[in-house]
Amino acid sequence: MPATTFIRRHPDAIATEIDGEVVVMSISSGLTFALDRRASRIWTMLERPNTLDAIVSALLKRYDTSPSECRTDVAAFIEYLRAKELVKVDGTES
Amino acid sequence: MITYRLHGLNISSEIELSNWPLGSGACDVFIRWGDVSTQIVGGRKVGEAFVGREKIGLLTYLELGPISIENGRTITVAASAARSPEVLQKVLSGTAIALLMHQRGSIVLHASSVLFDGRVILLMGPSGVGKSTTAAALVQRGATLIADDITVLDVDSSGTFCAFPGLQTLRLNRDSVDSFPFLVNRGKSIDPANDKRLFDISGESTEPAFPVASICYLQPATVDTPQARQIDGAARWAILRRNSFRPRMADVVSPPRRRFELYNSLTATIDLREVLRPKSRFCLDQLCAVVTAPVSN
Repeated sequence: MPATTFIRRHPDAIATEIDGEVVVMSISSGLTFALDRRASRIWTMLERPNTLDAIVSALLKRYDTSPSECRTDVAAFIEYLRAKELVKVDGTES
Repeated sequence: MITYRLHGLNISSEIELSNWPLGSGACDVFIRWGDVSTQIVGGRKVGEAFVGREKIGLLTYLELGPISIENGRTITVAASAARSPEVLQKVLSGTAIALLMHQRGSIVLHASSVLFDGRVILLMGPSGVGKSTTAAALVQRGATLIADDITVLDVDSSGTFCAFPGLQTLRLNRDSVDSFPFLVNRGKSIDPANDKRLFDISGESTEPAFPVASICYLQPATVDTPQARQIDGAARWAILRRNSFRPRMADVVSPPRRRFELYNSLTATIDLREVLRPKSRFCLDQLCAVVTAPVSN
């Protein structure tokens, strides 16, 4: 995924927060996903369209992990969210 | 036609269902004999059911033939099922009614439940953990059975979650029956292969629904005595979803936005606790004390 590609929440995804952890449901598939704390943080960073680069650099400030490892993990998670129709990945911010 | 009352609904049935409580009044659901189409356009296989987005579910069992469940309102059973009335009763009381309740958008939990001091305690947990046994122990200590195996919840106009009375029967293993002398002469053998017995313990309750106090998730664990701990965070949601009755069916057939909102407010408001019990024994006295603590306090 190019560093500057924007990731946005899917319009069919609805979410709620319980004690800092997010549960998100795809209205189109009916499936729900309970996110752990780290995944919830990424979901929160998608409140507005965001880029992989921006998410990774924000996480690096918080977690003790290598940039390449963090980037690989986040990209895999975003791809998972995309496959479950919880986010859209496209080129523009608006 | 006979009218039954189950999970908060009046159900008019052409099929006699021996353990179902009788009801009266305008009917919400109909069970009838009829031709059942085995074709669902765009449907998909989920467990033993074939379900479509168009609010149609189809169950097919070799012994029974097809059963369709439509719009949360009509269950149609093929005539071939008349050959196996006991299997038919089991399916209608279990998967078929659960699928119908999912179509109506209720929360359908794989849980036994009792009324204790005016409020309902639900008992969830893995198969064999002792949901029905714990329910029997609470009944022996003065509680009233609300439902065994399937408990249906919905929210009332004041935002309180309520449980609706289900079947007034308990299904127990033969070895746990010995702990409950009050059950003598109230049971009949079912499922001889599993050595289970079914006990009719219908009470006198006439209320349509009862407020829920607490949901306990029973787990065998390496502990000396039963103990409880609160479940926090997204795990609350996950545990309720996982312990719904046929969760994958619910994912497909229940209206997603309504289900999301119901689970959302249930997880936000309910006392949800994990209750650990020693692996090797039930400790029923202590287990009952731990389970009823939220109501007794």
